[in-house]
Amino acid sequence: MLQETWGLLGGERLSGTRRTRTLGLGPAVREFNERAVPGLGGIWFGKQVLLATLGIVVAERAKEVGAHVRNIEAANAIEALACWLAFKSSNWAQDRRLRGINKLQTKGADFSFSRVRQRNFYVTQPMRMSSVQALPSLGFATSDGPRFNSYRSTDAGRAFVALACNSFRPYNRDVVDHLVKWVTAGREDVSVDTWQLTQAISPIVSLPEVATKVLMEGLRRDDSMSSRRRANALDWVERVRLNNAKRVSWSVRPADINESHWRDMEAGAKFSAVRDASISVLDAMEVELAAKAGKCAFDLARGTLPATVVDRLDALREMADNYLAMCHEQQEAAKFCQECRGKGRDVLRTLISRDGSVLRLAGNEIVPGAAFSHAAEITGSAQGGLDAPQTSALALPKNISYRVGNLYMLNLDMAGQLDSWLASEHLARAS
Amino acid sequence: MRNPQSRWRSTSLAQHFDAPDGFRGEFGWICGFSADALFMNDAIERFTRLTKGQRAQEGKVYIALYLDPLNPQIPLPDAPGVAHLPVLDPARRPFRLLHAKVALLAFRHAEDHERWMLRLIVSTGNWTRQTLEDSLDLAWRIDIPSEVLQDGGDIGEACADIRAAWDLFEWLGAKFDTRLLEAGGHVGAPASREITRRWIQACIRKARGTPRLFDNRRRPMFEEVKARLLAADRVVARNHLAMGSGFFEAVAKGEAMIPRSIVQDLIDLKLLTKTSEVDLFVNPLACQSIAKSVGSLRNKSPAIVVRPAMTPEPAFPDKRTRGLHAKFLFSANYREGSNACSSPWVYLGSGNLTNAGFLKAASRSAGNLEAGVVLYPDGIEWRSRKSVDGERVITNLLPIQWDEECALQGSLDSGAEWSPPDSEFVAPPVSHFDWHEQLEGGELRVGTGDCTDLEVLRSSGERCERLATGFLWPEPMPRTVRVAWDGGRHEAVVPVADQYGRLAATSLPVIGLEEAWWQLADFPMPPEGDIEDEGVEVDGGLGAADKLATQNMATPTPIRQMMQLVENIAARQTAIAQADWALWCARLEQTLGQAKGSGPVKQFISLGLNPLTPLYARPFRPVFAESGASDAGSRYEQTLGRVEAAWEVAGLARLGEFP
Repeated sequence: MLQETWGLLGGERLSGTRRTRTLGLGPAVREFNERAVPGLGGIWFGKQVLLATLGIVVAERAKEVGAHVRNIEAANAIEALACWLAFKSSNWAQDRRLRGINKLQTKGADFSFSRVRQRNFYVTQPMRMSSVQALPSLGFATSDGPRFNSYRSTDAGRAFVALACNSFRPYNRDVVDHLVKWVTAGREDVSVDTWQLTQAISPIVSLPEVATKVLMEGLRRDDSMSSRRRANALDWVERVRLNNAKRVSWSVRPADINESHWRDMEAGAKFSAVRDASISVLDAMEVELAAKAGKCAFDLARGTLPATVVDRLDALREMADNYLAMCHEQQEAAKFCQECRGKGRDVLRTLISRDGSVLRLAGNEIVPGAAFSHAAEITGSAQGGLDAPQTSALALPKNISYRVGNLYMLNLDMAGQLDSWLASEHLARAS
Repeated sequence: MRNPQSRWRSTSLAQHFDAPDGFRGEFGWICGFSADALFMNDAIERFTRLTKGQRAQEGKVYIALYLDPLNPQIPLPDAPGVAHLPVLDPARRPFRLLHAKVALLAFRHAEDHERWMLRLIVSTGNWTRQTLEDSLDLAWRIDIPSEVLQDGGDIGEACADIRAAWDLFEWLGAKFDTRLLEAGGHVGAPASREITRRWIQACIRKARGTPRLFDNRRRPMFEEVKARLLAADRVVARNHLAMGSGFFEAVAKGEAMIPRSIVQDLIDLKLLTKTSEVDLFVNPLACQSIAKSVGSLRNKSPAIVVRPAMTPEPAFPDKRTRGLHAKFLFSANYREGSNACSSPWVYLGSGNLTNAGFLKAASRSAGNLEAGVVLYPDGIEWRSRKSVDGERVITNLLPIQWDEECALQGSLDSGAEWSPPDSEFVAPPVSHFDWHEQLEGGELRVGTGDCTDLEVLRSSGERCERLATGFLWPEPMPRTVRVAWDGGRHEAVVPVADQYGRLAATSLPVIGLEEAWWQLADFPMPPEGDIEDEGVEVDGGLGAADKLATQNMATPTPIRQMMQLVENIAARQTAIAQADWALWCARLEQTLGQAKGSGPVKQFISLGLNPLTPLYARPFRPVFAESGASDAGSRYEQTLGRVEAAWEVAGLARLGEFP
């Protein structure tokens, strides 16, 4: 049908490019995260694990009856359905556990699988992506390779799904049976807009306690690392939850965490501080450039470095020294910190070459890059999933891997306290 | 119970690029005064449904972007898929500024290749982050799906709009360097442009009547508006007029004259009553000469009341005040006791209420190139009521209000004058380089164009050595290179095309066979993203973390993996439409090339077997490419030949034979 529309354009906030300004340090950051809490990926609440595992289980069952469906299609569609049902049940209130409010609001009531499975139906970065790494290490899936499409559910994964869904009977059917019917329906109308299904899969309804126990076993399972780091970290965040007291300091190692694990966590935090300090050098240079009259460029060979840039370069050098003093074996981090200890102009040149998005070099001149802002705003570093909660207020040591914060949230969820925590976080932000 | 006003939200300019359900972006043309990479990445991701990383790896152009030469160049790596095209000869451009903001987008159905959709957007806002985050702007959009052309409905006017837009883009195409759109072969833009041109021509054949879309190449914007109003079935004098603009006449020229002359013209043509209510909406912080003209505009009859533009809350729940950038006229009849806007018309477009924007035709010295539409909307109401849908209330559709007006003194600021940047983006002698790998580094080979006056600069600023056919680049292939010409007076960033024709693309990671299959399984789309980056960029190789995460996975035997891949390819390619065959062959060569170092390939070499031979068999090929006698079949066999050479299995024993 011919469609016509006109009127005021709505607003949108763009933050993506600046958020992922990572200076080529990705592998080092990932390694520190993995050393802090192995195999957790971006998981921070239990239903993320359920939805991804359910996607695999439903796709496998659908394939058994001859349907052509891939894990990713099934998992994305189930996640889109789960978020839609959750939004409807909460009168379209925003929640960190839900994605796609703008898209899903425009979709109407037709949630047939043939429509929902299409690539552009839901967001480009579903929550499933942050669960991928966790499923094999929790023991819920196994695979011939790293692709989610080649994952297969394990007995533990299927048991987890069964325990999470058994108490709900959409149209008097088992949840998996009903979703398989939805996936294999063809043109037949299989209604999915039911309270029972909403309770089973809505991300804003916590897992039943019996399923939580299986998830807890998965988290405590010894997997890829030859250590018990994840279980130890879980013990620690549980203790922090129970004794919700003052912030833990790096100088006092918790009893649950062994020395090498604590050292990795601290080195990761110190490296994170170096990264933040280097971003703040670039921010200061951007502000200087934006305020410059005339040509928006700075001669790196001859110009006098602005005082704010010099101050921040000094701060960066100090952070880099702090990291290097730990003599940690992560080589890329050490190399970067060595780079940060050079002469001011050399350091600035290196940082801008690594960045290239906000500032870039044209010969000896610093010029605006694609993400340059003339109203330069200085933002903090951002890590973790798109919608993960800000855990900096937790009583954890400064700059610790975001995964420890995520494990804290997951533990809260398993203890039935996530809703109240998110509500108070929401209130704190609003005020 | 649904409350329409609380639900109603406007669509952002980038959201207007969203591919409809079941479709994906094929190709698009955009013109405007300015654009930036942040906006373009947002918009093109919505258009193609591909992330920046996926587009960077694909190296294909999806959007031809014509901007005013004053807009700094947006190199391909900053917004992969967007070809920001340079002007050919800035001194001879037939407009003061390129200011028209029009997008013509073509979508193709993902499964039914006969289905397509054209979308036309006319905006008052630029293709920038500022439009999304700070401005009050307007847009008009039509979607024409291919089905309506067959149904024979009332589509003549919409098709005439497409014809008007296409005429503008064809005209612009001759003023800009479009050579980049010809690059890339079957993985590039030429095939997409060709198919979308066919759809556009199909629309143009159905065009009837006067288009709503117009530009000022022939006569000024206001003349076009008046001509449309006078050509309407019944000429009606309305008793209300609202005007708005992001820019007005400069302060240096004294008091504002144009708003009054617009009102007088409309009265003279009996399109407005002499006693009508007239409002002029401004950005109080930057309204140029209006800041000094509030009194004089008000004192003559009919009074022109200057009011601050309104940021309506239903459209912007965040309650931040936004600056007026929209340019519009709205006129209708108001009747006591009725909420209906009767006989309404709206102009919206790029033309500000200035001489260059509204009263002059496009020319090098006087008028900008502008574009806009005149609409006659149905069912519009003056004020919101519970029973009225938000999108039918004029105060939600336009940034207007009648509760507040600007005081005679001190309430307005003229704002800073606009000062143009000091450099222009002008066409370099070459549009791109082709990369020819050598033992160390490679050669940047020049395709078309005269490069006698050209210098290629390394990142250090050093000049590259000139060769007979191009330039020597002593490092690994760059995505782009900086060039200088005309004695160093001009500089630009020029993309490099790799052996597969990918432009400014990221390097292809080495992959295994399973990965190769997942890259092909979703053809023509790249595979769906698997892992969300943890606040870090996605890099080619596996990081330590990934290695830890995948170390305990079981792997099938190399022979089984290879046979599975061959079977999967055969199953997939026999279902491919002939129109996609060239692209499939290109993707097959590229993907299998990436897997040339994988374990199973090495295993087959050591066994002396060529694992690709089954792919020559007829049952493994689509009907139209069953033998080398057809073009499609010949292309396929050449593709397989190149893969065999890359894998170093050509000449080895066929599968089923023993060495």
